[in-house]
Amino acid sequence: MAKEYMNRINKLRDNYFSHRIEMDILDAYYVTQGFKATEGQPWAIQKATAMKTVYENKPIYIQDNELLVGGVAFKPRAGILNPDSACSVIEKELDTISTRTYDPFYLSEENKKLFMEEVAPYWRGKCVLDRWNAMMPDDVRTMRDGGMLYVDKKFVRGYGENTPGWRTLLAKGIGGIKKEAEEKLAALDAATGEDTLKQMIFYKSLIITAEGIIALANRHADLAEQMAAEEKDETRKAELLKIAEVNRWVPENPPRTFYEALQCMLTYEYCIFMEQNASSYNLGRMDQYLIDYYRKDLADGILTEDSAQELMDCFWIKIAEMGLFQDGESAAFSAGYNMTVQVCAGGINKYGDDAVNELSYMTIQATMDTATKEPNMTVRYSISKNPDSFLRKAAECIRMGRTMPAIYHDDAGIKMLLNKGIPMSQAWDWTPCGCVETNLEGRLKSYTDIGEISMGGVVDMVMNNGKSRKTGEQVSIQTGDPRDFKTFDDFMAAIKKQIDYFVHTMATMNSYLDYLSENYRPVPALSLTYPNCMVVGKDYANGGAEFNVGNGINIIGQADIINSVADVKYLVYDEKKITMDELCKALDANFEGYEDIQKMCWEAPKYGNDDPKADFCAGEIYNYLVDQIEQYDSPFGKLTAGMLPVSGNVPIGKSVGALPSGRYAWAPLADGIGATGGTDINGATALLKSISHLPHARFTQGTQMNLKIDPKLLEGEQGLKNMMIMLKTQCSLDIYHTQYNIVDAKVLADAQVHPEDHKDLLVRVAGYTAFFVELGKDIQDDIIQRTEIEKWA
Amino acid sequence: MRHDEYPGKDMKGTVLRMEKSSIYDGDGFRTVVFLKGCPLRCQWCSTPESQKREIESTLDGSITYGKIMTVEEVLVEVRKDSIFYFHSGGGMTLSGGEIMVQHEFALTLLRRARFEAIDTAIETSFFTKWDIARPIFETADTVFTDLKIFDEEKHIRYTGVSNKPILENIRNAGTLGADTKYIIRTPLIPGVNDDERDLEKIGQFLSELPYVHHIQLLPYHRLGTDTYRKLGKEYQLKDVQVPSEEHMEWCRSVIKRYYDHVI
Repeated sequence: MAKEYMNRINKLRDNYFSHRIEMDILDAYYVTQGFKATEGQPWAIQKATAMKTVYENKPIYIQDNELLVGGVAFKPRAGILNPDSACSVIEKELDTISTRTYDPFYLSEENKKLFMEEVAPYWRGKCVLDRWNAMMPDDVRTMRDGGMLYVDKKFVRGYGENTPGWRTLLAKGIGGIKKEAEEKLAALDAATGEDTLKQMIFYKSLIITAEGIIALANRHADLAEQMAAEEKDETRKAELLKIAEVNRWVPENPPRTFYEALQCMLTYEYCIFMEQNASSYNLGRMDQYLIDYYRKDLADGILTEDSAQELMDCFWIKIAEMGLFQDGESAAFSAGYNMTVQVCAGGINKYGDDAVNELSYMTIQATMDTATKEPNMTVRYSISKNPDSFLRKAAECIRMGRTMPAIYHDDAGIKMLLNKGIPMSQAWDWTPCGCVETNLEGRLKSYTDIGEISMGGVVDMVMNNGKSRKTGEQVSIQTGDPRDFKTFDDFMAAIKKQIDYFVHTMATMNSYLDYLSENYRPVPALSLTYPNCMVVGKDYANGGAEFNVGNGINIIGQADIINSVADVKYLVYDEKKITMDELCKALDANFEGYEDIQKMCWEAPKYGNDDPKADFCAGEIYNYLVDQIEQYDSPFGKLTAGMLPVSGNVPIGKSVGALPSGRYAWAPLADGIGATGGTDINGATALLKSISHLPHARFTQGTQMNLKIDPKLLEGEQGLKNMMIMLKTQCSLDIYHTQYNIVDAKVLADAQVHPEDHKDLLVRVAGYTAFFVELGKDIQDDIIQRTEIEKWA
Repeated sequence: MRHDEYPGKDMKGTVLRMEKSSIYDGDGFRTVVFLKGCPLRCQWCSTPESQKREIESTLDGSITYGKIMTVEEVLVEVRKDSIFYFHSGGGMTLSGGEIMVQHEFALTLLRRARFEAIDTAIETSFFTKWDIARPIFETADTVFTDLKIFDEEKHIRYTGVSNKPILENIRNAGTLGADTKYIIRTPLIPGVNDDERDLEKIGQFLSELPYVHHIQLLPYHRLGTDTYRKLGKEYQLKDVQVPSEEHMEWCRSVIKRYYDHVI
């Protein structure tokens, strides 16, 4: 029987689904007002003042049944715009944003007017995106326009992809941090030089921002008191007064209770999100940060297990209320309004021992209870330390079709951190970030995903000598006519040359990104909780964090390149079933009239079947790729790599011609690190064996693996046990991450026809979950075509 | 001898097919190797393509059943899932056809798997000489043996062979004292072996065999009837219906009058 607290949760959930997704312009308006009021001041002071203006003036609200309060926009599930990052995207999409294919946002006429009159004029030519468009070098633009790379997303939205210093926030409160900044500032003398002045500007930006955050919480306290005075229902009146008391205290002061700790985290989460409108402000290891509050309140008799769960569930829904606004093109790459705010349970503690505690189970329970798309619930599973009952809890949640938690093999995550240059003792505290990236609470700075390299594109460029099949233009370097490749080694050498050029072009873009970010993207609100920023007097954006890591390049289409390379070797060089000339002609014709060759391509060895004839090249290609990426340095360290294609495999495929794998031109590339849908025919074990050939731990921004499993397979005790065996085997195979869609194919098909009946149907798109009916049709189709594992074999 | 050399490595056998991660043929996730050829002609047989020892094709030539493989070639595939065996307690299962038809091939596979610490299971009708069955039995961690029909005359009618050697081998198995897990399976075919007398006899027989771990009753199913058509063979049990769960439960209860461990 459902617990009593679920009454409130179900009401909050119904309320959540009742909200139309809308576009907020007011935040952008107040940001602009703040900038206008501080014209001539350093950019960081302008930005801090802008955020303070937002925090002090944005519309606020408290909804029925809420225990935790706040929001980033004028209403729940509304997107906000950071005009300083990407004002021009709205101008470009003014008339289409309400109806566009991917992630539409309703924009009222009144807000359109406000935007065009008060926001847009100030930012034209000034926002980061406009600066990028003005500065973008030709080689980057050519590769972008040819669809080989996706390079714009980080100019559209700024720093997320971090795990703020939750421990610092909870220990000191914003007030305590502000006090430190004031003391630091008082001790400095501008006469000692420009460096000191820069520090002073930074500390001032912290103080201004902190004042704004505290003011926002007090505005909620005022509102709650006002509502309490008018409230007739005594129970609700008491709840409102409690809300007032909590928000009066946090986040200014360190929380005293579990309730206050949750509200403290929530308010800060909203504030840093408003600062950049970026994804992945991760909540990190909540089970570790909050366990002492929970145990103390229980011992003090002011909290029960159920009331704690109720608060946790409320928190989950408040996180789900955030929705990411992106431009239409970026949205296609990660459709579903996803915030990818991760909460991670489990793993090991600072002594290397089992870290699982009561809250580890309760965070998973919150995902079971609330059944929405966020937060992005994940598990660090330490096969050697974590108990089976914890793994079982995770497996139960997956089986319920919640699509979460995603499961990380803890040791692989630790290795990724080590590879990022983090000492072991701190690597043990790693947190998953965003989709599948790796992070460290309050200590690490990096963009984890600055853009995409199309591995299908790499093959396409080899087979067509650097010319786009879509436009006929020369977009990449010439590596020669494939007909002249005498040996397989010649062919592989061309693949590597193209990889070099793709990586080089991304590295060029990255330098512009670092330049623009350092100059036009200060993040004082975020920097508040990075203790090292306080120590050295430097913003997160300028490298103030304790550890700085080079930005991450995201790789899409693993199966496409592995299958293509394997098939060329098998068909052309080893078995000599066809000549390179025949293959080239077939690709030129998109297999039209060459169906026999396409059939041979399809029947050649395929990645995903534990077949050495296909898997042999995975290690060579991907180690080579990461070697090249690591050759490029930046002010923040060597560049890094990940395989987290979000939904980008669909749009990026639209520029890639026919491939030797048998794939038709313009079709989606393979998702994640998995096999091409329908080509993995040997079951789950063979699939996992194949993907274990990728050098997971060298891709330090993570490797993302989708599995779709027939619900019948997980029925009963034995089904659950088998699921646990699969997860343990994942660890033994050193596979970093897996995530699960447990959904009947018929249900997905029905949801396309009758979306109204499936409003809350969850699907795992990539490293995040979305409501199926809120996705564009081609991304729905891509999810449907993924191979469903119907038996373990 | 080199680490990867062993007697019989290149011995050839006829393999019908291999299935990975089966969870129905022994403990854990298993790789099942189906060997071709069977001396019995059970009328309910769901894999008629496994009966002939030789490689064969469907009438239209579209599917070929069977492939010549060496012991090592089979084991290359089996080893691929060794990490799954480790976590699930699984391993290799030899099935058929009837594995005793290719007993030397089967024994060599089992011995090498055991050497590599891969858990072994066999599924057999036990229709063979004890001298042949014995070493195979001793090399398997789990043995599934069919006890299809207790009455000899009926056994001949429905399977084409006498069950005398089968019953004899089942009894002999108890003399070995090996720590093999020994499981009897009875496919329950309505109208053939499911009347009270048939079942009571099975129960009585088992009650004298303390070394048997348990008996599984497998409900008759009609999968495979399509294969008969493709091979141009006639399926003889056209009118038999799949037994209900209630009937299965009743059958179990009849055996339980004499023998407790019925699944």
